[in-house]
Amino acid sequence: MQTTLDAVLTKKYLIGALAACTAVILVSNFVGQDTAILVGNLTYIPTAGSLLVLSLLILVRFGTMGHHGVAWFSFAAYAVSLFIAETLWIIQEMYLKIDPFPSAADIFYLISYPFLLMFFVSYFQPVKNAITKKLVAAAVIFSIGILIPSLYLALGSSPHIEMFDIILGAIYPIFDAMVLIPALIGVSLFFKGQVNLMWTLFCLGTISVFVADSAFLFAQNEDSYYTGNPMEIPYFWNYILLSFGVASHLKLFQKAKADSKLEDLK
Amino acid sequence: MDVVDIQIKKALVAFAIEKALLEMGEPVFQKVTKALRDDYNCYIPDCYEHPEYLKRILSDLYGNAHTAIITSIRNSLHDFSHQEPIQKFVSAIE
Repeated sequence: MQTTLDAVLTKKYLIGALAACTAVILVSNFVGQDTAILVGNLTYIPTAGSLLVLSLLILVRFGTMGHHGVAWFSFAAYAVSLFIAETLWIIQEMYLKIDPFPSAADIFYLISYPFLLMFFVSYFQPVKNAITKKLVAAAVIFSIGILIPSLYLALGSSPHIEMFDIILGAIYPIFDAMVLIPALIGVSLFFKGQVNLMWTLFCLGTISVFVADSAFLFAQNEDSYYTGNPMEIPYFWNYILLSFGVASHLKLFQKAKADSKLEDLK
Repeated sequence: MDVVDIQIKKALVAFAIEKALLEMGEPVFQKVTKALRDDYNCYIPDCYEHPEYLKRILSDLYGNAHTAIITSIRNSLHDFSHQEPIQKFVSAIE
């Protein structure tokens, strides 16, 4: 069982990681834009990398059997596509010195969303009877409620950007709002349960990436965007929150030592 | 009710619980069996006599959603629900 001490320690490390990431980005911006771009790009390697490693570890733990196995397989595919997207972004910006938006990285960012939706659907499958219409309606209303003002603010700015870039930029907050619906359902569904820590972190992560994508669209339209700017902090938070969420689930369902010993004896 | 009859009903209940948990994933099954062992020093077939143990563990783990897992167990036992002990078990975990 996850003890109270574990939960407190998880939160302590989580807050520390969020604060450290924020401090690194803010200090690099204080030094200069070039430093911010370098630090911003480099920060994606440990953040997206830790999510990738943890999602592969939980996939090994759950396997591909059962609804949760399928869910974690989808989540691992989500983490892999995000890691590929971040790597492509870094290569284009730091090595090829070309504008990474729009680029091949966007293909991988976009294909990560169906995998995340598959994760939610598979995870909810055994408990689908507990999902009420009222709960779904509340989550949909909340998502649409935050999507409309953010799109209005982001798209209402400078018109000197190409239509394709605007549409591509707008797709992200729309997809984020779509994945926010099951994330909110998860928090409510597993309320008071030990798995709820993961769902709360996933929900906060989804909200973070929604804020970051809206800010990205806004800054892109204003032509003021650069990798590593403070508006990107929620992107890093998303990776950290998801990583801690997966880690908490991994710890909750870790293999019992006694069981391992018994299996060794077999 | 004779001993064999009790054993059969215990096995039926254990099968329904294991099926519901394994459908979710083997680590979920392992987690529940470990919690039963650690907290109550018992095993899945013992839930036939102590359904409240299973109910508490599922509630601790899955919060509000535990009711859906219980529904899945109840549905597996549907064909035997006319038998009083099974009916008692189902009512106790709900």
